[in-house]
Amino acid sequence: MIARNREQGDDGLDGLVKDLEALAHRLDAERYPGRAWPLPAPRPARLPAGTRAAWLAAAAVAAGVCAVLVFHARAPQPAGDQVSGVRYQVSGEASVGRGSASVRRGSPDPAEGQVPAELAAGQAPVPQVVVVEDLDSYSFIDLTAGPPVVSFAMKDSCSPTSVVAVLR
Amino acid sequence: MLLDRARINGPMDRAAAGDPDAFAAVARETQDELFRLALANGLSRDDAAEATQEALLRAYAGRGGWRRGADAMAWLCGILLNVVRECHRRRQRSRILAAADGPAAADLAEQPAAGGRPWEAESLGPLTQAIDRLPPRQREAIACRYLRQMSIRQTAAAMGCAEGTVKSAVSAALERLREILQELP
Repeated sequence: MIARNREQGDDGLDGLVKDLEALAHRLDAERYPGRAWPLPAPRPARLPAGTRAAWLAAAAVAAGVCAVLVFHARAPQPAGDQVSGVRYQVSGEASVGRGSASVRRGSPDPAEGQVPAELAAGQAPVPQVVVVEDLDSYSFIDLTAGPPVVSFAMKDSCSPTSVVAVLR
Repeated sequence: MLLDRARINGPMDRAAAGDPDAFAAVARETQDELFRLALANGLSRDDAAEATQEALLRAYAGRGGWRRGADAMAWLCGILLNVVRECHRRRQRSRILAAADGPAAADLAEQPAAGGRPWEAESLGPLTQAIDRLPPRQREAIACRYLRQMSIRQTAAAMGCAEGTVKSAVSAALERLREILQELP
């Protein structure tokens, strides 16, 4: 107001200034009809930065868990739960080649051509039979109890014909 | 009442940095004030709305030249005053051309634009007529300084002149207004 009075001087422009102020108040009631600028185009919603970080962390943890599960699934199972082939080489009159058989692992693999001590001592709780395949026959080595019992069967027969040897 | 500069400067800084949504916020905040300034400078409602849009469009196109820290509202008012000057020039040109075409065309050109003016039929009508008769620079000074309550500094920034020039223009405009009002019946 002081500045305006200086601009006006002392020549009695108060009435004019009041009219101008009344005009200004009338203008204050005016509003732009509508919208002078378009609304911003809607953008796909973005997760807040904190939420994104949380999702990334959760995904990383899940990936780690999956990796651990896959590793365990592909790792060797504990002894006693898995059936696998054990190869034995048998030589003698009754066998002419290499044989293969499946055994249930109740104990560590015996060395080739040897019988585990606990099997020999009769401590193994489950039957353990080694099957040796020849060209035209099967040899069964029973390691379950006591000294190994070897039986023999032709391929065209379903039952062993006789016990051919008892290893000591 | 002119907007607080702090309210617009932040969005204007972001708009200058390339954020289109920020300029939409600037336009939303300033459109009414720019519209009033255009009305105060003698434009009809329709012309004032168009001038406001044009000013915002020019501001958007030239937002890269925005100087951070300056008064965004004064900057926008300066752009609007340029648009208003062009509008007055166009109107004057059409009047001259219409006068050359004959009295009927001249009468047509003299008719107020569609949309009218908010105070035309009020008791303040003589004052608005007197403001319309002022020279352009004096009219702008009165409109900014008295009708929109802008400071001397903001008025100078909007008009693109020195503060002393604004003071002398306002003083001369008040004197001239008083003379015109005395001449009016």
